[in-house]
Order: sequence, then C-alpha cells, then structure tokens
Amino acid sequence: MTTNPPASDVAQVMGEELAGEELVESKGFWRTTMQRLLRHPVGRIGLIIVIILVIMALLGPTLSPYDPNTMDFANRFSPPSMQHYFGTDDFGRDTFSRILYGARISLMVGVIAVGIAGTVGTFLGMVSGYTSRRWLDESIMRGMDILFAFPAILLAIAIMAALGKGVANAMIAIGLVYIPIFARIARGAVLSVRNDEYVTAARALGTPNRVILPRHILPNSMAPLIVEISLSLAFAILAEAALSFFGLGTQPPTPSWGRMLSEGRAYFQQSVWMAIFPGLAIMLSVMGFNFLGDGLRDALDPKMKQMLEIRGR
Amino acid sequence: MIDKGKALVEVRNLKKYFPMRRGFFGRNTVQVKAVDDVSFDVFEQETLGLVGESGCGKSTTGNTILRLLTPTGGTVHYDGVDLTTLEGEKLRQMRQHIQMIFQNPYASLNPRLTVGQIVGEPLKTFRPQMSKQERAEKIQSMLRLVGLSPAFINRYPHEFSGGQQQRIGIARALTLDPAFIVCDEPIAALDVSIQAQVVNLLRRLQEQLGLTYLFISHDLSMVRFISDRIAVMYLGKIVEVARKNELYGEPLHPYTQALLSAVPVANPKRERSRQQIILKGDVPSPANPPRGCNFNTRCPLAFERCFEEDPQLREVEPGHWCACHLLD
Amino acid sequence: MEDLLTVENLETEFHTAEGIVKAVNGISYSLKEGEILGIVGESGSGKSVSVLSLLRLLPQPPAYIKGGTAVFRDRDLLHISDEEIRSVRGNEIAMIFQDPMTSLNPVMKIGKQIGEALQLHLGMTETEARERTIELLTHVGIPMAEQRVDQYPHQLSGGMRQRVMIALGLSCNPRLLIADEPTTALDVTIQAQIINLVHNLQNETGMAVIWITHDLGVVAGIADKVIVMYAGKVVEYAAVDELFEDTRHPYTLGLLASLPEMDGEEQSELKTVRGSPPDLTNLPPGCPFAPRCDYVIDKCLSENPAAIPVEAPIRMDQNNEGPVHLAACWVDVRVREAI
Repeated sequence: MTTNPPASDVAQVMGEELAGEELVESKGFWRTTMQRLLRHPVGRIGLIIVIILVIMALLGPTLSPYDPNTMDFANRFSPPSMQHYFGTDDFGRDTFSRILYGARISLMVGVIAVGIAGTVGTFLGMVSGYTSRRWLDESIMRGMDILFAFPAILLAIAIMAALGKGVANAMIAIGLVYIPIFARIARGAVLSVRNDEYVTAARALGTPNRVILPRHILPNSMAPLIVEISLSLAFAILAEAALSFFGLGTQPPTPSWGRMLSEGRAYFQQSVWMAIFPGLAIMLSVMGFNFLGDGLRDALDPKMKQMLEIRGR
Repeated sequence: MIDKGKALVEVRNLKKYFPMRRGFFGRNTVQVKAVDDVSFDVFEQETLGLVGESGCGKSTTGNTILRLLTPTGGTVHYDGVDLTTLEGEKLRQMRQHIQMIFQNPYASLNPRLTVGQIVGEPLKTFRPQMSKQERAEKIQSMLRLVGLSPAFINRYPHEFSGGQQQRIGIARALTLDPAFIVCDEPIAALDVSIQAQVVNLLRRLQEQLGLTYLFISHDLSMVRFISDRIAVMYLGKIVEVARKNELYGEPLHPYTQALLSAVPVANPKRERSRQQIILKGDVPSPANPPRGCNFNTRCPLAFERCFEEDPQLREVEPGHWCACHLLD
Repeated sequence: MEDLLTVENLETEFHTAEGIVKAVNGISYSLKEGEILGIVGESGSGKSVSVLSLLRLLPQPPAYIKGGTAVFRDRDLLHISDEEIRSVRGNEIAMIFQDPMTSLNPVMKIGKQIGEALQLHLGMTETEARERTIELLTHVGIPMAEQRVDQYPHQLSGGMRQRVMIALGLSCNPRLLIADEPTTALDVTIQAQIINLVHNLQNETGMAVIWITHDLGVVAGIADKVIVMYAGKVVEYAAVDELFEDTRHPYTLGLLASLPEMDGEEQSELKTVRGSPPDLTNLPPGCPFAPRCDYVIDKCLSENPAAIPVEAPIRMDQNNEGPVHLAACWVDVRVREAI
C-alpha cells in the first residue's frame, strides 16, 4: 500500500489562506418552520385550537368547576347559565367539566394511538423503502394494502368487536388502523431520499446501512410524517368519538365526547344543549388538527417557502 | 512525468448495462449500455481526465469503479485487489482508500448535520477507538487543510456558499487518508470565479498528499489544466487516450477533433477566424447504439468499414491510444 | 442608425422576508437593429432579471421595477399597458430560455405550441399555421419535420428542444430575440450547432439578439458588443474586441485571467478571483466588487462608481469617436492609478 504523509501533518505545513468569508446567518430547521407556520393563516388558527386543547387536557382538573361525575338531580337538563357554563346533562352533571375531562381522554387516546401507528408504521415503511430485497418490500406493502382496503372506522369497530370494549382497546384499534398510512408515507419519503446524493456519499464513505437509516434517511424524510401525525390525530379524535358513540370505547361514567354526544342525541327533546357542546368540541378539535396539519405541510414544503416568507413583509 | 510506472487502478473490460423494460407487459427488456467494455489504467499520483458529453457514461464509469453500482462485467483492480469480487464487510473496509467528490456540493451534504458531523462521519465508522477530543482535532485539521476556518465546525451546510460546500466535501473525502479519489464533475455546479479556487485546491492537495485522481468532467479547458493524461468517451466507449499535450495538440479521433473545435475560446479574433467542425445530428441512444463504430452516425470521415466493424482501442503511438479504423 | 432598444437606469428589486434584494441596480445600454449584445455575469449578477424586467415577466410582487425606461421602437416597455406588452411578447420580441424542458408545455405537441403563436399574433388559420410550422422546424435544422410536428417535447433530445424553442421564438419574425443562457445546459458540440444556427438565422433575418451567458468563450464567438454585470450593475460595456483586448474593469480582468488556457503554456495554478459574490440584500457602500478587487483604493469603499467612458480607447476614428467602451471603476487598470 502506498504511503502518503498523513493529511493532518500536511495541514500544519500548508497553513494557507483560509476561506473565511462571511457565512449566511441562518436559524435552525425548527425555528424557521415555526415562523412559517405562524404566517400561515389557516395554520395559525389550527395551532391556537390545538394549544387550547392541550391546555384543557393538562389543566382539566384544575379548571373544572365541578367534579364531572357529581350528579345533581335537581338541575337536570339545564341550559347554559352562570353556574353551569354549558348546562347539565340527564344526571345533572356539569357539561363544562365533562367537556374538559373529555379533552383528556380524546387527546390521550389520540396520542397513544398515533404513537403506535407512527412507530410501527414508520419502521415498516422505512424498511420497505430502503431495502433492496424486492420480496421484503412487496410483502410489507401488500400487508398494508390489505389493511388499507377497509374503511378506517369500520375496521376499528371490527377490531374492537374482537378485543372487547374499553379505552385501552380503543387506542390499539385506532393505532392498528392507521399503521398502513404511516408505512406508505414513510416508504414514499424514504424512496425519494434514498437516491439523494448525500446518501450515496455516505455509502461511498463506507457508512453501514444501520447507521445510514437513522442518521441520513430518517431526519430528511420527516416532513411528510410530521404532517401526517397532525392529520391522524384529527382522525384519532374522531374515531374515539365514534367508538364511544357506539358504546365501544370509553365506558361510563368516564366522560368522553362521543359518549356525551350519544346521550345528547337520546335526550334531544329535553335539552338540545347536551348534544351541541360535545358536537362542537369534536368538530373544533378535528378541525384544529386538520388546520395545523395543513399549515405544517405548507410550512415544510420548500416551494411554499417563498410565499410564506414574502407574506411576512 | 511520462511513465509513472505502477498503475494504481486497472480497469479492464468494464461493463455496466441497465435493463430497461419496454413493451406492454414489460416483456421486452432493452439493455442501456452505459459503459461498454471500457479499459484504462490510472497511474500512481497522476490525474487521469475522463471527458465526454452527457450520456457518454463517464459518471457511470466513476460510480462503477467505486462499486456504488454493481458492474455487469469486467474487473477493477485497486493496488492489486479486484474490487469487483469484494462484497459486504470487505468492500466496506476497502472504501477507506478510494473516495469520491461529488458534482452537486449542496446535495452531497446531509442538510441536517453539522459540518463537524459530516466531516467526522468516516472517523466514526472506521476509527471508533478515537476519543471525542481526538476526533474534534482531526476534523479541525481537515477543515484547515481545505482552507476553511475550524470555527465553522458547528455550522450547517446551507450557511455556506457553493465553493465552501465543495471544500467540505473534499475534507470529508480526505479524512481517512485515501490514495485514490474519483472527482465526478466537482466544479460543474460552481460559479466560474469559484471554479478556479476549487481546482487550485485539488491540485495543491494532490501534490502535498500524493493523491491519484480520476477527474471526470465535460469542461475541456479545466480538464486540460488539471490532468496529466486524458481519456475521451463516446456512447459508453473510450475512443482516445493520450497525454494532455498530445491530445489537445494532435487529436487523432474524429470525435476528439470535433469536441475540441467546439469549445468556445475567449478570443473574438480567433473565434471569427477559426473553422469549427460542426457535427450533424444528435448522439444515438445508448439503448440502441449503431452497428459498427458508435460514432458512425455523425462522423464526417466515416467509410464502409465503420458501419460494419466496431474499432478496437489500440496504442497507435507510445502512450497514445485510439479506436478508429482510419488509423489502420 | 436608430437604436432599436434603449435601456436607461433600469432598477428592479425583490421584496422578501430576508430584506429587499436589489437585483438590478441601474443599468443602461442600447442596441441597434441587427446587433448582437452579449450579457455576461455569474449567478446573482442580475442578468436574467434585467431581461425578464424588460418583458415584464416577473410577478409583481415580489418583484418591483423601481425605475428606469426601456424604449423599444418608440414605446417604453416598462410603462405601456399590460395588453400592449402582451402583444409585444412573442411577436416583436421573442425570448428563449435555458431549459427547454420546462419552458415548453410538456403535454402539448410541439406543432401546436408553435401554431398557437402563429394563429394568435399573425392571424393564420390552422392549416396555414401547420404548414408554416413545418417550414420553421426544417429551417432550424430539425430533420423529418412533418413527423416531428406531432411529437411531444419529451420525445426530443435537448438540442432538438432548444431548436424548437428557437423556431417558436422566430415564428412571428421578431425584431429582437432574447436568449437567456440557451446553451448552458447543452453539450459543447450541440452548443456549437445552436450558436451556428442562431448566427445564420440572424444573418438572414437581420434581427437583433441579446444573448445572456456566463461563458466568455461563447460571448467572444457571437457578440458584437458586451456588457459585463456584477451585483446588478454594468461594470463594463464595450465592443467585443475591446472587451477582450483592452479590458478596463478588474472583475472582467479577473474572469478572463481565471480561465484555463486551451493551448499555450503549462499552468501551475489558475488565477482566481478571491472571495465570493456579494449578498444582494446587504450591499456595502461603494463599489460592490471592492472586497474582491486587486486594484482597490480608498475611494472604492465609499463611492459607487458609475459606468463612464474610458480614457483613450484603442480604437478611434477621425471624428474621435469609437465604439462604446464604458467601465465602472475609479482606477485606470492599465497603470493602477486613480482616474
């Protein structure tokens, strides 16, 4: 093997002119994304709604004026008032407090379900997208296709039927249903990134595959996954509400918006308010996450960058 | 520097074909012959320029030599070891000695990693025993080597200009003290006033570190400056190889002649007075090369034999190879 | 001869989140019928933006044409109505771009694209337009034009597509053809073909040409006069022979010196222009090239030189008039002294 003087020794000798030209000052990835998101009109609204939702969920117990399960038969079906901001339900329980507690349920189910879907789905998608073994890619994707073939909520209900009722099973069911979407998005993102030159450069440097995937491929395919997380949270909330509506998810007396909606439907004659507030809550949350997802998608899209930056003036 | 003696890299009958499916159910498979029976040597500490226009297969040749693509046929010997027979771990270990510098400086750097992480990656792979301190020192000395301030170690690629990004790529390639570097159009994406800076750097590094370069480019004037010998490719084949003064002074192959005459010269009087050879038509598709010599569709000097027989690359003068029937 | 196009003090800015980018900072030049003007500059010099401004092809916002005039045949292109400028585009002034793949409609047959222009601007019928299109395609050197006319852009090679763009540009007999880096993405032998073609067409039709490029070799071969742009300004403006033989601006000198020689002496190192192009949102006071200049004096750092006629140009006729030669520099580079 030919021996050359090691590069570091030569560096001492050369000490040539340093190309110390001014660098372009620039902020990090997350900060610029946040800035762009804030300039997006729809995304802003989504972000605000989501923040409110999170506050509701975290501070629910502190903010709620009543215990959600305290019954008060004297005040059943009362309309909104100063004592009960959102009125009361068929057991005289304070709707406002129940909505607050319901937020916790919705968010918790959403986060865990999307957590399951996201981790498992992304892992499968990345393996599928990066592998050069056709059969592996094909079999994973065909498996995903099978799951995909079923309408999401129906599939969730079917899984619940198999697993039984309860919040925990709801999370699993919703998570399972959403795995294929994450797999497909992750696979697509990996496919588009794997031929990027810095990945080729990493291979040329001798970096092993098990390092290339987490260091090079994953961080650069995150954008569509981030967007999908937001959008699937919207779906998860809706799905949880649907399952509870049918009595499959959260069980009484735990407050869940879907359940409340179902009860409100039953007692519509006595009080319209029982149905309105849970309905609004579901609608606004789903809308909020969808808006946030849209805003994130545009904020992360390199071509949209210009539009959002110009508006900032 | 006429005969370097030892050939560090020996490429023999290298082929890289890409199957392209045609037809309704994809039944017809056509082979795109990107690299078709290419042979050359790269001598120790020389720069071999590999020139040709788009689609001639020069970049594919570079990628195949480095085993970023799997060759369809042929061999590549590096310092006696046949790279085409290596797989897996052995191949990975080999990569310490043969490196690449890429065409698009920004695209070849992971935008989410800092300069330090980028340049330090090969150290993490092959020198895991180095301490954090040692690694940082090595990275800083590499940055200084290519003319960048070590203070930039925590910056991100997008904060740098194109020329600086290319320097980062060069630093990364040199970290493990390789002996052979494939430069794949390293300056094509840079502004003219920056190209000279980077080429000077490559030249200086070669002298100081004793590097061997395969310099792939379509820029004939730049190639002339940096190369010792030059190989000309057309449609997957090598048509001429010679020392630079001979190639530019006395090109033997009609394609080389046309190529050199097509290069614009920054001298209005010369441009007005000289006779350019203007080739007719376009380059044929590498999926369907013509029968006989690949150049026969555009060659102003083609005769019957050119349409029947593919010319072989022969040494017509010492050190000067050409594949043309006219020289028989 | 009357000037075909006179541009004076053109200024164009872009309003972005990072600040106002002064892309074109007051450029002036003129062009006569049948002349070929080369515009040379690197990325960020403003060369493309300046011609896009002439035809008002930049979306406003974020672009703003802040000032200046561009008189083309007695009309100021920058100030006529939208309808008027639309009738000029493609008709009296044609433009061809660097990448024909993106400037040709990929889902429209090439014959239709050319035919459309003919029908729109010259009022031809469909049959007349098709005939004329086949003529034009043959004229620009596309073999088997009758078949090609029904093909889509992706079925043609890069050189062919560029010829189609040229045919499209010429279809309505423009008086001025603007070519924005038309051969930069093409191989050198194809580039030679295209330059040859434009030369021939220009001889035939007598139209004027503005050819934008970063390649000084191309400019040497095709232009009658040249402007060199840097940071949105004209730094040198001269007839082509003068630009190469009697260079008066340090940037032009730097560019010429950094080109490797195609023949002649062995070089051990290329001369470079040190530093990198300026940040157009944050131009320093004084000359924008000063940080990279080898001839810099104090005045350069505080006052931005305008392009003024050079002292003692080498070619003068009896009336003491020569071809134009302006340079924006406080220093006479021949003697390294302030002018």
